[in-house]
Amino acid sequence: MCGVKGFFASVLFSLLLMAGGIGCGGDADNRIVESAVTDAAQSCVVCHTNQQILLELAVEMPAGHSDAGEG
Amino acid sequence: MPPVEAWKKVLVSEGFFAEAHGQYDCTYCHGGDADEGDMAAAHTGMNADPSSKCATCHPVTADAFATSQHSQLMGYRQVIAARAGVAELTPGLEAMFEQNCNTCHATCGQCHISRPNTVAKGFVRGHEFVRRPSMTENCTACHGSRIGQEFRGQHEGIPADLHYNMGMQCVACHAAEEMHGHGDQGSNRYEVASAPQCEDCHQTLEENPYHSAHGDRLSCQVCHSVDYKNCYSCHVGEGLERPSEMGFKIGRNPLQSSERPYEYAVLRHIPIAPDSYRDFAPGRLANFAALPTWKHATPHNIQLRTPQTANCTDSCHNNSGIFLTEADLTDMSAEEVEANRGVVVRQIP
Repeated sequence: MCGVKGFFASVLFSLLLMAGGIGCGGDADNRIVESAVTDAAQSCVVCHTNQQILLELAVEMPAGHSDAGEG
Repeated sequence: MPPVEAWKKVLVSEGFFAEAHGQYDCTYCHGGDADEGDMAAAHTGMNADPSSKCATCHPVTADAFATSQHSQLMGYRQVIAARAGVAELTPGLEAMFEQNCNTCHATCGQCHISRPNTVAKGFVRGHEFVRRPSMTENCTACHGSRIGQEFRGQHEGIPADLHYNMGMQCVACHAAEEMHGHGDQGSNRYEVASAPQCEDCHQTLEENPYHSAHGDRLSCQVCHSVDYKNCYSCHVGEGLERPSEMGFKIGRNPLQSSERPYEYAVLRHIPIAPDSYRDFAPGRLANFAALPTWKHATPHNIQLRTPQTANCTDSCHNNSGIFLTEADLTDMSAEEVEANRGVVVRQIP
């Protein structure tokens, strides 16, 4: 399954590269750093795409205002 | 606004991996150590908001943004310096600025990926990069208590802005160029060269006899806004104990310029007092009266018809209640009275 997704992601990425529109909507100043592109997902993805794991880890983010909007 | 659940703040969606940014190693932007099996070790050195990395691929936008109002808050910085009577913020005021004002400044990620820090973060759409920021998740997460509530009609008895009712969101008027900046940011948000003006869309105003009669003497909001929030107590300091109040006041335009030549504008009271920053800079602001505490305002609750447009003689002309007059300053400190001398209306039109 992952391999199939990876294949389609690679195809999509190649098409975007060919179209010269890579990045956030194809801004004129976009550049790609190809050395940073990998085919395989890193281990980060194992947890960060899995709701159950994140729930079990009880990930806590830094506290902040919950009633902001002062502007 | 209620915070996002902790797990959901960092849950990456499958959609992210189908977009260009999803082709990069996580560590390319965020750092950390992806080879570590232990969670704490893997996150060591990680940067949760690596917005500075955006410049690698988006150098033009990033360069412009570095000097933008959203990034630098120059408007706040300059009015604080002006009231303090200094050219640059003193170390004490700089500390105050960093610990208070600057906690709200935006980064690339806080508009295009996650909610801003002020509402405790959290991905808006599973780490997908959102080209147009969400009105509710991003814009009004910060600009909520006044602009957001006015725009959506969340004040009791006050209707929503007609543009909101037509389905328009913030980005319809506030385009990327204004938000990202372009090196010409002026000293406040109204001076940003690409700041929106009503006339950008409404270009046939002279066909209306009321518009022709008033010409450039009135800002659009004078006739087309309704009651909005005036603040008196967000910050600590003497004379700031009053809760916010809904109201509507027309005063002399304190920001008159060639772009905004109006003689009269809508004014909003802001929460500042002569000793507001006493915990950081002892004493009172040396030049407090340099700027009015009733500032030029553009309430986001525009209506075609308002109490001001009901009829000429009762609703506006001869109606002292909707103008800022000396009577509105009677319970204010001598310094605040002095600060507002230039914006009070002395003779009701």
